Parts: sequence; C-alpha cells; structure tokens
Amino acid sequence: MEIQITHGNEMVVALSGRLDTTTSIELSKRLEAEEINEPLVIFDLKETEYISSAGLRLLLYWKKELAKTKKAIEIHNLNSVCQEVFKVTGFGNILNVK
Amino acid sequence: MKFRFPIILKIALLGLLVSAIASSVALTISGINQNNRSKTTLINNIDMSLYSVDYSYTNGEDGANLVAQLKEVKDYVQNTIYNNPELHDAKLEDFASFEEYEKTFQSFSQWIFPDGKMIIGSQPYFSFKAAYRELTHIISEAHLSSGAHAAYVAYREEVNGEKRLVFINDTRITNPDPKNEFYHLPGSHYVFTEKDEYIDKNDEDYFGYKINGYLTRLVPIYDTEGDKEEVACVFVEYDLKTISDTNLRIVLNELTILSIVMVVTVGLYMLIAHMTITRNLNKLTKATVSISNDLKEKKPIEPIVLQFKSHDEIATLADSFDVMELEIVNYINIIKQEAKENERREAELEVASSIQLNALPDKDYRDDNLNLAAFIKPAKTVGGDFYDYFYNKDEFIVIIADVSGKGIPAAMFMMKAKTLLKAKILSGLPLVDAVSEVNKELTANNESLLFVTAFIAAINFNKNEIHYVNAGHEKPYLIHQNKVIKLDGASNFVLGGEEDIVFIEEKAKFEKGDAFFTFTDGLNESINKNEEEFGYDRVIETLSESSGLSLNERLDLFNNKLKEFVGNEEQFDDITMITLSRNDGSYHLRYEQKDYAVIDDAINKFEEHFADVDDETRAHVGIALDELLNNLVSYEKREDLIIELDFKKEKEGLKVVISCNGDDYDPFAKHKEKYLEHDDEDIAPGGFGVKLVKTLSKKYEYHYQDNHSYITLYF
Repeated sequence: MEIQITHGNEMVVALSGRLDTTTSIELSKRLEAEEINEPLVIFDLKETEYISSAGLRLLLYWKKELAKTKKAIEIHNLNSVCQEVFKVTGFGNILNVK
Repeated sequence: MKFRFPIILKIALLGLLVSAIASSVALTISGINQNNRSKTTLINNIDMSLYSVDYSYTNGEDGANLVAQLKEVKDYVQNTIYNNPELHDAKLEDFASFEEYEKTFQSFSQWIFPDGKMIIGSQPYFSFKAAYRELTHIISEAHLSSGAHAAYVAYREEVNGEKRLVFINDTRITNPDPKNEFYHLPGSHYVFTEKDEYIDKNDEDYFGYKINGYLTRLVPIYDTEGDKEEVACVFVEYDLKTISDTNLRIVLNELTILSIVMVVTVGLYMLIAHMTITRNLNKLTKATVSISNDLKEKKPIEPIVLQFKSHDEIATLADSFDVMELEIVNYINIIKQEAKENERREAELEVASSIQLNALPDKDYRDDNLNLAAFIKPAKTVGGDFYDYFYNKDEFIVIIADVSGKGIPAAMFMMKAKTLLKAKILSGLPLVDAVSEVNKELTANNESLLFVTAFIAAINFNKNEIHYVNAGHEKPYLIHQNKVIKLDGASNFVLGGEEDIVFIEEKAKFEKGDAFFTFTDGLNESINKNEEEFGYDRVIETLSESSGLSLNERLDLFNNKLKEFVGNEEQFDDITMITLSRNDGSYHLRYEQKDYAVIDDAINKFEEHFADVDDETRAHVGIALDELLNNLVSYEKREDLIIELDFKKEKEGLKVVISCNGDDYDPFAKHKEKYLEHDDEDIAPGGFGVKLVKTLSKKYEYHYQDNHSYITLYF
C-alpha cells in the first residue's frame, strides 16, 4: 500500500493498494504523525483495490477524531468493490462519500 | 650477522698444521741422525788419535825411547808423590793459590822444570824435563786433534781389592778447559766404583770406561823390555752431554729457519688459494645474493655471467650457476606468461559459463498444466550438467543430464547432447527412438570418450501418465498424495558410450496434483567432512518434508539441508535439481503461527498464485481472508494455532477453505451478525466483517470436525 499526502486548501490522502488489517495500521501511524491544519481531509481511494472492515474502522475513527477540532472527512473515487463494501456495511450512510 | 669462518683461513690453518707435523717428524729424525753422526765422527777422530799414540809408543827405537821416558815419569810420580800421603790426597781446588800448589809440589816442579818455575797454561815445552815434555806433547796431540774434551795418562793398579787409576799427566794442565778448571793432579788416583763400566775392545773399536757420565777411550802402553807389562794408558775423555747440547742448538736453528719458511709458504699458499678459490667463490656468492635480492624486491633479474677462466670445480659450479640463472629468468617469464594466460582463460571461462547457463531455459515455469522449478550449480565455472524442458505437441518434455568430465570439453559435449535431444524429440520420432538416434550421433566421432547420463521424460496430461527413458541416470521420485515413490523403471546404458543399444521406455501414472523430482548425482554424492554421502535416504526424507511446500520452497529446503550437511567442504560435482507439479487447480497454504503477519502473507500469496482470476473476485477473496484470518488471529486462544488455507478452482467458482485447530466457533451464526445501520460508536470487530464475507461470497459454510474448524467459501 502506498500513501501519498498533499496539503493545500484541504489535505488529500491518496491510497493505492489494499486498505485492510495490515495497511490500516500503517496508515494510522502516518496520519498520527501528520500535522493537519486544513478543515477538510479527503481520502482519495481511486487507486485502492478494496477496503476491509479494518479500513472502514480506521476511516470512522478519523472522522470522529477530526470532528473534535471541527474538521470533516470525505471519501472520494470509490471503485465498484469499495462501493459494494460501503453499501453492504452501511458505511455509505455514515461517512461522507462523494 | 652470522659468524663465518673463512675458507681461506681454514686452508691456511690446515696447511700450517700439516707442515708443522711434517717438520717435527723430519726434525726429530734429523736430530737423531745428527746425534749419531756427531758421535760417530768424534769417536772416529779419538780412535785415530789413539792409534797415533799407540803407533808412537810401539814404533821401533823411538817407541822404546818413549816408553822409557814414560816409565821415568811414572816412576817419579809413583815414588815421590803417590807414596807421600800428603801429596797423594791433594786436590787442585784445595789450594788457595798456585804458589801454595807449587810449594807443596816443590820437588815435582823442580823435577819437571829443572831450569825454572812451572806456569800452568802457558808453559813452553822446551822448559819441561825432556821425558815429561814428550809425554805432554803426545797426549796434547791426541786431545786437540780428536775434539775430545780431555786426554790424560794414568796407570791401572789394584790395592787391597780396590781397582784404581793413578794419574801421571793431564793435558788440561797445559791446555785448561775454560769452562772446567778441573784436572787430575799427577799422583792423584780414582777408585772405580760398581757403577763404572769397562768397555772391552770386542764391543767397541777400542777399550774404554764409562765413568760418572763420561766416556773414555784408552790405549795401553806396554813395556818394550822384560815381560812387556802395561806401563800406563793414554786416555781420551769425551762428554756425551756436550754432543747433545750442540745438536740441540743445531736443531733449534733449523727449526727457526723452518718456521720462517713455513710461514712464508703458508702465506703464499693462502694468496694462491685466494686467487684460485675464494675470490671466485666470493664472486659466485655476490651473484647469488644479487639474484635473490632482485627476486625479493620483485625487480627484473639482471643476469651476471660469471664465466671463470679456471678449469676447476668452482668453474663448473659457476657454469651451472650461469645456466641456473638463465633458467630462473626464463622460468619467471614463463610463469608471468602463464599467469596472463590463466587470467584470460578464466575470463573466457566466465563468458563460457554465462553462455552455457543462458542456453538453459528459465528456472521457473508455470502454465495451466504444471509448475516447474529448476536449480543448477556448477562445481567448476563451466559444468557438465544440464536440464531442458519444452512442449512436444501436447506432451511436456523434461530432460536432466550429467556429462562425464568437467570444464570446457564436458560443456561442449553437453551443448551437443542438449541440442540433439531437443531436435530429435521435436522431429516427431517416438521418445525412445529419438533417444536412440541421439545416442548414435553422440557415439559417432566421440574420440574424447565422453558420455552423458540422462533422464528424458514426457508428461501426457490426457493419459495422466509420465513415460520416460532413463539412460544411466539417477532415478527420480514422484510425489503422489504426500507419498514419495521412486521411478524405478528399467535403466539403460549411458548416451555416447555404445552405438547399438536398444533403449527401453518406461511409464508411470502421473495424475493431477502429483509432483516429480529429479536430480544429478552431485546431490546425493555430496560429501561432508566425515566423507559421508548425502545419500538417497536424505533425498527421500527431504522430499517427504517438502510435500506441503511450493516448488521453490522445496528446492530451498534441499539447498539448506545440503549446506547444513556439507558444511565447509568444497563442492566437487555439479548439482542440478528439477521439480515440477501437475496443477489440479488447487493451492495450499499452511501457517504454524498466531501472528497478524499471516494475514498479509496469505493475501499476497493468493494474489500471486491466482493472478489470472478477475480483479473483483480477487478483491472479494482478499476482503474475506482479511476479515476471517483477523478473527482467528485475534480471538483464538491457543498459541500453537495452525491455520491452513486451500484454494481450488472448481466449476462453481473459486473455492476457499480456511481451517484451523481452534475452538468450534461458527462466525456465520445469526446472533453474531451485527448490522450497522446507525452511527454506532461501539462497532464490535468482526461483526460487520462477517456480514461483508457473507455478502461478497457466492456460498459460505462452516463445520467442525476432528477438533478442526472449517470455513468453506465460494467466490
């Protein structure tokens, strides 16, 4: 899994590969080390093959974490597998999916 | 620096020693001769003078006259002195002065010198009484002409059993010995002792006495009248010690001269020896040192040509040295040349080695029918082992072979064999005929008598069988349902050995999921430090252990076992291994660890193995593996957890079985599902994961059997 973070008006976290148990831990460590000043964090899943429940839990955690400082998250560019996962688990309703 | 004793000194010392010994022997002999010679000469002279005295006293009228005179002197001495006890006992040393003597012997003096006084030592003859004068004259002649140290006249008598000598005259009265003033006074006498010795005329040339270390020779004077009694004797006395002393002096003189001559000779000897021997030896040494220095400093050798003019052994040595020197120079050049040659050859070998390895197909091969992995490790840079595989229509051909010998010749023979085998097999001939043809071609013109052992197999997927020709090669193994079976069919003769061989082809079942392992004898004949072979038992053992492993893991296992067995021993033969497995569409993974790393590894391996499956299905399987393995690793209590995964393409789709030795826990049970429809803050892990698995799979099932849980999914 490759993580690419760009800062600007909003912070963009571009993820390629799988977002599962193993890679969630990696991503979590990266985000904790990041200084986030932007009001919006976009998770760009364009290159993400699939996301498992571990990945979903990570996104949910960061939604709540950022909300404490009045920041929001958005999930962008889901492929069909990820869309299916979001739909099946109901996360599509909880997370702001664009 | 080490102490050296110069050869020149050794030679000199040796010369000195030898000449010293020779001289002393010579001198001793000469000394003895000299002694004898002097003694003989002296005695001859004495005898001559005594003869002369004898002659004077016996020669006619003159002789009779002399005897009469002697008798006169004797009578006077006998009557006036000898019979007077006072004078009789007088000794010269007893007198304080000559005047005293004169006084005492007044009558004698007056008798001898009627006209004057007697002066000892310088008395002119004419002043003597005639009789005494003649007597003195004759014995003085005898004394002085012979070289003896004294002459005297005495008569012999016997008184009361004592033998006596009574002196009448002594030459030393008129010719005193400067070293010894002693002389016999007229009328004094000597009594013979037992030590004194009379020498008879029979033993020597003349009579004589040996008295007190002195030797005397005598001539008796006989009376010319009456019964011709002995009147008196003329004695000549000589001292043997004087002769020896004289001779010693002569010898010492000779010794001095000899020593000087010897030192000069030895000096010359050293000089000549230096010119002819040591100077050349030094040159030789210098040349040797120069060469060895050049060698030490790795400088080019500057040849020193010695060419001595002499014709001795040193010149021979120098000639050998000259030859040796040139040989060394040549030899060094040859070695340098060879080193360069070797370097070039090694570079060529490396190129040859890479050409050879490039001539072999890839070490990994995979298609729908089978997977193959190969390993080859030449013992020398260029080896004699090879393998090959290719499709011949719908049969898959595998060849493994070992050419006898090593290095370039073996490699070239190997290339020929490999090319021929492939060409003949692809030409459409039945396998056994193709092998037969190859054998014929390899045997023809095989002057270097190389041969090759080979195992040539063809796998027929439709008939589920492997048919093969074994040309003297190690027998391979099949693995059928975790059982190791030796391919024990008939073994033929090697290829390239005999032209007319009828090869036999064998066959065996080779079903889906079966594996095959073949190798060259470099494997089983690898030797450890105790000279033990790796052997077939270890091959079979390793194969059994590798049954659950992938093909590359199997080869790795062999390499590790071999490394462990062989230790630091040098590999002496090429080692080649090939293993292949027939696909049954299934894929097996096994983990004996309770670790999150298992999840990632399993997903990676699955994705790698099933690269041909569509992305969506692979994503679904990936999610399912992540969810279910996460559950097992997180919630199973036992630490010795063993998780096994089986993947297999089936008609209904991709079947995935996740089994483990854990608790009986059905993740799909109704009450464990958790639906996330609201913003749930406390999402239990696994809850919506299981929901995901259920949704993404076509079919899911759980059962527990023999203490193992099985989750079966279809995608």
